[in-house]
Amino acid sequence: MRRLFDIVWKDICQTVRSPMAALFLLVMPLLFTTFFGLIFQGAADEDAVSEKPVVALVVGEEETPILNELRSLILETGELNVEVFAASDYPDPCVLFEEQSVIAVLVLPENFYFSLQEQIPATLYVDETSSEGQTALYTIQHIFSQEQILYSTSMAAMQAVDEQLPYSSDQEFQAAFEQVLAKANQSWDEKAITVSMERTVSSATDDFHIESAYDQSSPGMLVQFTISGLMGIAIIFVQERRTKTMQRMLTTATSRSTILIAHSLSMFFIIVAQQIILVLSGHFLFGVDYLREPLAILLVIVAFALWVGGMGVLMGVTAKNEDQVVLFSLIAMFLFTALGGAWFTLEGTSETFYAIARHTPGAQVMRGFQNIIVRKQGFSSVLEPVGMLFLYAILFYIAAILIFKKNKE
Amino acid sequence: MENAIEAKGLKKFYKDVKAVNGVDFTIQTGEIFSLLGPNGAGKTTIINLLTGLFPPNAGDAFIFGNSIKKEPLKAKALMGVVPQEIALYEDLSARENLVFWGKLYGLRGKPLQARVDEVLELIGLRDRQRQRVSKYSGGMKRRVNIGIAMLHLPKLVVMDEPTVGIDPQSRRHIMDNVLALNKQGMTVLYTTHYMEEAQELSDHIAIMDQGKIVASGTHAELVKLVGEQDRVELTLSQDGDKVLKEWKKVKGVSKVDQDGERITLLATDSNAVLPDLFRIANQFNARISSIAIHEPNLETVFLHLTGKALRD
Repeated sequence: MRRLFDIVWKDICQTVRSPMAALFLLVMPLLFTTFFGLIFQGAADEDAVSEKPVVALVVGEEETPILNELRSLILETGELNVEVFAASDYPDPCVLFEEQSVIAVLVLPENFYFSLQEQIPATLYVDETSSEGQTALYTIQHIFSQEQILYSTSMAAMQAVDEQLPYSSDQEFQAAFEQVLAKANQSWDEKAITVSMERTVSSATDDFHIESAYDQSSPGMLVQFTISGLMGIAIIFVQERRTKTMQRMLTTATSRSTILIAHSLSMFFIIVAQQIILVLSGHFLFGVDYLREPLAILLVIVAFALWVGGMGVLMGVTAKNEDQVVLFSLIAMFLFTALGGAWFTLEGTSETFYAIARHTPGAQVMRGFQNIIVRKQGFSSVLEPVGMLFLYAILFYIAAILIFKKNKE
Repeated sequence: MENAIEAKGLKKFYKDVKAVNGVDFTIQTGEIFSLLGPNGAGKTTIINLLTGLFPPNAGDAFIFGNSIKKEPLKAKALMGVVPQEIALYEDLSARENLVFWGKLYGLRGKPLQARVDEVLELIGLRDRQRQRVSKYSGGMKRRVNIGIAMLHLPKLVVMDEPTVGIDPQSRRHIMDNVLALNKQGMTVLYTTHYMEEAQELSDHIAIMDQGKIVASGTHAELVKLVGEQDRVELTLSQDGDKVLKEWKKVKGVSKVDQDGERITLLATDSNAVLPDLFRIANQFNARISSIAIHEPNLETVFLHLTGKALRD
């Protein structure tokens, strides 16, 4: 047992001493987290501006109570944005469709407030063939029917009052009507029966909204550089075989299994240490909320380290020389980070790509981290990806052991 | 006295190659035993079998009574091995290497540090102990390579061609170390293809060729095998097939072997046969451009037993 930890300690000393190790294990991931964060942030900003389709309200008069009410009701849907245009500036509403984001144009007649009474309709221009147009159509129809009810009810109430206690002037009537309408709107909002709905996430696509670009770049670069960091560690393994120091170890009272376990453990410790530093950096430097579920994050780190450790040992026993280690590490890095969604969110990829990629170990790591930092879920949300990672780790270790035993001959 | 090593019917095959083909030998405790043979004779394979790097296809060997097949860890604990390659961690210093290997040999704490100091003194690297091994010369690396095997004061030191590719000064240093270890009571198994090393160091020598031990004994016993014949090396200036044919008929010449221009003869008395050799060469208008006479040695023995020179 003591020999095992002697080998582990020696491996750690060798790794820490290598100038390349510090570069690949810590400096590069932090640099790339920043770079990718800045790149993703730009894209995220663009998305934020154009993410919701716009309903153009073309009006003859601005800032009337009914217009404000309409605007807030449309915005409350959460599906649409509103831009208001003066009718004098846009005589032809169709011009507005040339702006890509505008999916509906609602032209309100002049003095719309009173036109409701006279039943002069507002005109809605919309592309009914598009899903966004359909959304706009149904949303505005719904709002109008709600407003119509409120208007009719309020007007009926006002007329009833006017018959009993007539208002002295139209202005007085108008002022009282606006008060009644406001009260009616308020009552509409304070519903007697409310239904609360809580979403449960059954697939990775649910409730996935990245608030900060670092929510993607920090775990992404962590995955990428943890895998590429294998290079330095697996090279120690290969060097031991090339320089015959491993053979020499076998001439002492040290068994093959002790050597294999020791190298696996040293890889595990180094990877865990690297990840903890990167997670803490991500939390405190880039504002990624890793520590809202520290135990869950630690579990993902451990599972990830076990899988990468297994892959490192497999490389160590398979590669014939240092060049092959570099090659294998690069292949593993590009394969698992691309498929794992480390560079871009898998949720934005095609169905086929997503269906394949979501089962890869890299994707499990990303899912584990992002269930906490993006989807804001609890400890139990990482259990499935962690379980998958353990399974991958076991597969890689079994392959490594079989090859190592075969090399005995 | 207890045997340090007892090998019985050791065999190791790689596909069609019989690397070790039924080897038996015994090494007494406290002696220096050399395995002498050309490259590819099977010396390193025997070392690898004895040190448990891979199992034999047949046979067994006992290290101080411990079977390498049944009790490999016990057997290994009694050995210090100096591999043919320089098996060191180049990014660690000499001291760090010695400390690491000392731990693998089971040493700990103060005894380990004290023993590391002793070994650094012995290999002459105390002053440069903190320097990374990658900065050392080949000879210095060899010395650290040997030092590691001495750390735990093993009962048996196994050295696989430890002087390959080093300068004469380091070679001398290593050979002195081997003798010093033996004086401390360690048994030494030494493999080499340098006849002089085997001759100078060994109490017993086993000559190997093509996976087999072809002769074994003390230097004197082995020399007797060739009947204490002289070895005469000549160079002929032209193709001398006819000359060689006639030389073989000369009384007192027991064997004639040709390797390119170089011709080696075994003769009971070189002085007696030389006149005849010159006369025959003259007859065929062949010119002897060089001649060297060697008293019987292991090279002669090897030539006698295998029909080829040791350095081949």
